[in-house]
Amino acid sequence: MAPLIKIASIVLMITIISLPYQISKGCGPIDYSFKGYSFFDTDLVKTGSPFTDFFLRFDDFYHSYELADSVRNTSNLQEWNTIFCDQFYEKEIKEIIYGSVENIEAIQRASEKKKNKLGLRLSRNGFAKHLVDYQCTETIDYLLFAKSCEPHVTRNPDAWGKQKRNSVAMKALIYEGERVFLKLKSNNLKLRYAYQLIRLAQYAGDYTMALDLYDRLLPRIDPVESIVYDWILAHKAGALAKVGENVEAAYLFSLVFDRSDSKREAAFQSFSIRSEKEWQQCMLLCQSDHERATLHAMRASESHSKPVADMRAIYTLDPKNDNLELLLAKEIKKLEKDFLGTEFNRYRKDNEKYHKTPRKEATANLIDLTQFVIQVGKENNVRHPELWRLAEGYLLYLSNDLYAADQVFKEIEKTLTNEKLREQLAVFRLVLKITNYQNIDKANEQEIVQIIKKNDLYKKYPAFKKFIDDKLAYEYLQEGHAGKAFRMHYSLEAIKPNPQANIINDLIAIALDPEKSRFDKILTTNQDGTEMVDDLLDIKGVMLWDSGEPAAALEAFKQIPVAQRGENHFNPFIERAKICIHCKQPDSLLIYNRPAILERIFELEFKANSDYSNSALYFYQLGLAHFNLSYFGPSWNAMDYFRSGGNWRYAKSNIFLHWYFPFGNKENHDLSKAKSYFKKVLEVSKDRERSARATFWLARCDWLTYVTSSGYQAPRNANYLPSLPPEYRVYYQQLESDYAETDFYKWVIKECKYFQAYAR
Amino acid sequence: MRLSFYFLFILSFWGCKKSSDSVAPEITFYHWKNEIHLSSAETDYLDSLAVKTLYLRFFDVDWNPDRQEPIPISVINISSSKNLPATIIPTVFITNRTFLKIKNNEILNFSNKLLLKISTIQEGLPNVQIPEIQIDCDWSGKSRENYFLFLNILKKKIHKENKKLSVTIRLHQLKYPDKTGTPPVDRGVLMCYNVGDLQKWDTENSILDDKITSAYLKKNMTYPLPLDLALPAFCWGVLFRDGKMIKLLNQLENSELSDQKFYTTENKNRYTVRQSTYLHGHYLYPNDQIRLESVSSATLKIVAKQLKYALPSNQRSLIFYHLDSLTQVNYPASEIKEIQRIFGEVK
Repeated sequence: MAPLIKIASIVLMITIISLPYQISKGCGPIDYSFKGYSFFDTDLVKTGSPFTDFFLRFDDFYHSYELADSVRNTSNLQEWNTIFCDQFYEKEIKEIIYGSVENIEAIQRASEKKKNKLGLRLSRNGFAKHLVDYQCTETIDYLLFAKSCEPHVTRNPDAWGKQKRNSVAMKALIYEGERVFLKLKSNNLKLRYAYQLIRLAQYAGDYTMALDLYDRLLPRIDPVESIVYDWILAHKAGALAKVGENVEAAYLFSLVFDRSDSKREAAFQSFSIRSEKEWQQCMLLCQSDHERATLHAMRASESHSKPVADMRAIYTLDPKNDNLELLLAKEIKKLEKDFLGTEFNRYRKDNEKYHKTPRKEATANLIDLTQFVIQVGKENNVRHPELWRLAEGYLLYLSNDLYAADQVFKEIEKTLTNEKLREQLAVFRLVLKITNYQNIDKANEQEIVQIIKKNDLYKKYPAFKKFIDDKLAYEYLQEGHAGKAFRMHYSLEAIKPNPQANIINDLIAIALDPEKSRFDKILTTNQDGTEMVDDLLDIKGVMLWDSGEPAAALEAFKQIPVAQRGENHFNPFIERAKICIHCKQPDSLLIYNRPAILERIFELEFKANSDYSNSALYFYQLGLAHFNLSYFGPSWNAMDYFRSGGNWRYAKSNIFLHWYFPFGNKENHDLSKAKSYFKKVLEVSKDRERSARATFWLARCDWLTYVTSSGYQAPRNANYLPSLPPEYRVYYQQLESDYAETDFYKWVIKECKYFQAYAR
Repeated sequence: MRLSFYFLFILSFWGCKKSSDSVAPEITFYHWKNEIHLSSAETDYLDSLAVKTLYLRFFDVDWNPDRQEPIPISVINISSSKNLPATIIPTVFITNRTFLKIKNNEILNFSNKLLLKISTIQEGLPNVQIPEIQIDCDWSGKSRENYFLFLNILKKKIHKENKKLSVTIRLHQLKYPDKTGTPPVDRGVLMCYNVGDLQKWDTENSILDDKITSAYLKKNMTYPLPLDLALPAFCWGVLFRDGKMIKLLNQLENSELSDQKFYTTENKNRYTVRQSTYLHGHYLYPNDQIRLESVSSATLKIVAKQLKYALPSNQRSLIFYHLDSLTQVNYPASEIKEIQRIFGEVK
């Protein structure tokens, strides 16, 4: 059982380590979003308000009417229920308030008659029944009035449709509503009528009337506790802004922002201070330090703000202000992007390029915030001093003062009682521990394995995986272990299209080390649990072969046990008239594996240089083999692991960027070796037919070399042949001038339409 | 008698020759605000330039991710159609992402809605002629297929109403029509502004830079569509914070940055904020940087010459972007007329 668990745990670890990332440029899904880590849990500063997230988003708002509507509707229903002593289910009230006008009309009819005749559905609704039983005429009339206002003040659900604003009808409703208002007994209903009338006036574009209604109606209402006051205030602020009373409008919007969940975002977006003078005037309108602090909080919440000065002001005015902690969290999140693991984040350059992080003045911002947080932590005036001490430690960590951070964490560990804060502390300490790893040894690796396998925080906070992978990759690279560094991010498949010697050699050395650590064993084991060494030797062989070292390649292949050398796949020694990459080979064909091909090539070279009577034949076969092993031949897969049909074009060093492969995809476009053998055929062959064939292959190699060169320009019309410069036409012309009498020439002139064009 | 006949004969040829000379383009403007209400100063300005046509932005269209459909935004509010020129060309800006997101089979419905919206707004402009509709979209390779399909549908529909369809063409689209494609419309407007990289602090002037335009405008260029020309007549401040461009401050002028208590300047158009303050409703922090961008008449004249050299043609409009309260101050009618005369003789 134990070995099974061991294997399972190794496979799990390998799977974790081998999960691929999007990594590179090139054709594919490129993700330009910021890529970093975050360990600060914003839940710590959430106040329970559904709009807390509004503060914690960065340079971005909800823009969601649906959310604002749902918050408004929920609080409205709660208030209706409170007015009726919480007698009903919220859904019962909702059915009437936000239901159809027909429901309310039915209630009205039933309440007017002595014998109540509500329909079956409505008679089961407690709220409807209550309105009928107690003949709540004022409420029913109000609900009908509100329904008649609705079409004039709600958004047209069809964004393309005409906005149905009929100011004459709206004014008529205002007059009718005011007439009713004057006769009302209920202050709650008076308030709601006032809201409907002010809103109608504002939507009708008569802002003076809206302000006049506010001034006339509100004094006639005895104070009641209601969310509707803030809704009215928001409309008054809007009307003031429209008539140019910007300062008072801004002040009222700040009150709405502070008090109303459903209007918070709208108030924030409408809040506008245009000058220092307006700011000062707005501050003078404030009735309390809390209101002044709210103005600072709104300014500090702007996109791209530098909020520390405003946070200091809030702290001085109203140290227990909720917004202070929200702003702290928002600022820490920004500083995490600037400083957390930036030394080893492998997307550091992309983040610099696309997100301009670290920000130019991030260090100054960090120092400024840290000083403020230390002061707040010491003075103990805020709502949650322990949160500020925790933030102090984390900010010191982000400042790279790891010792001071550790000291703060140790100090507060004894005093923290809140479970969430204790968890946050543990997260910070784990981040610190990982950051402290340097010159990673076997003991460190063993610890890391334990963290990955057993630490609950590692599982709970997804950022830990990326953080550990990037940190270890960075450290391994510093220590000269390019292979281990590579494996922290990629599976072996990612290197096959363009193998890198330093990575492959490092991994082979580790794989062959009989005393390798458990961690090294994980890094050199395939996902299916088999050892990686044979794959690594195969990759090394292919890499050496491609770089022109066939003897060294054969040596690498031969280190793989015979049984593991792979199946026979290829026969590059046969001739095909047509270039065919994916043609099916006949079953009878003799096929080779990679080392067998090399052995046959060495054999042919030996024969070509010793058996002079047949040299031309052997050179011809060698030319064919090297052509067929190239990108353009059917045996390309012997010298390469990955081929893209889209790479029939130029790329520097034949390396094509690819979104998944970190070193790109190197294609074997080089036909110089094939050409050198076909040229030797021309030198030694006495057979005119063979020479004609070799000349044709040379012409074909030149054509392919040209169309994959940097100077090639594709014809505008895909049906046109590329225009071939004279230096690439030599062999076409030679075939026509020197071999016109051969059977091959006669065949080729018949089969290849393009031959004539280039031969001319 | 015979002599006078020959004189008339020669004169008629001279007249023919003269008529083939360059004719100055008709001056027009884009109106890109949310509210139409031309002030008397603006009306006088248009009159002094004999402006008969105004390109009026009716609304923008953007993709709404919640509704998963394109929706109109910033719809124009016609508070008064008084003093408008006799001819209006409704212009609609559509974001590129609209055409990246919209499905092929939704385009017909979208074009119907767009035309309906235009005609609804048009009801507020009872005494004007609308001979053309213009679409402004900086399409990309990936959005081209959808955009061109949309234009094809739109063109067929508005041709039935004897209206023409035009689109905006960027400089790179002029230079590489083979790569970017040619929109299936009746006319194009070559936008000769927003040519530089706005996001980079080092950019000299992102609105117009004759060195950049010269790289695109070569002698006697051809484009598959007849082209009107659009030149910039606006200014703005580009606000950078922590090295990153964060806001555009429209109509910002030199004089607003002259208080040395708040701003320092190293050269004529670059400022650094010394002390926190408000500017155009935005709160600035110390070390914020502002690049003030405007286009001088001299630069407009250089680019006008480049345009005449690159695209010699008669019968076109020269559209200035855009008409607002500062246009007549920064670009007096006499300067605009001088630019107009670069293209040819004013008839």
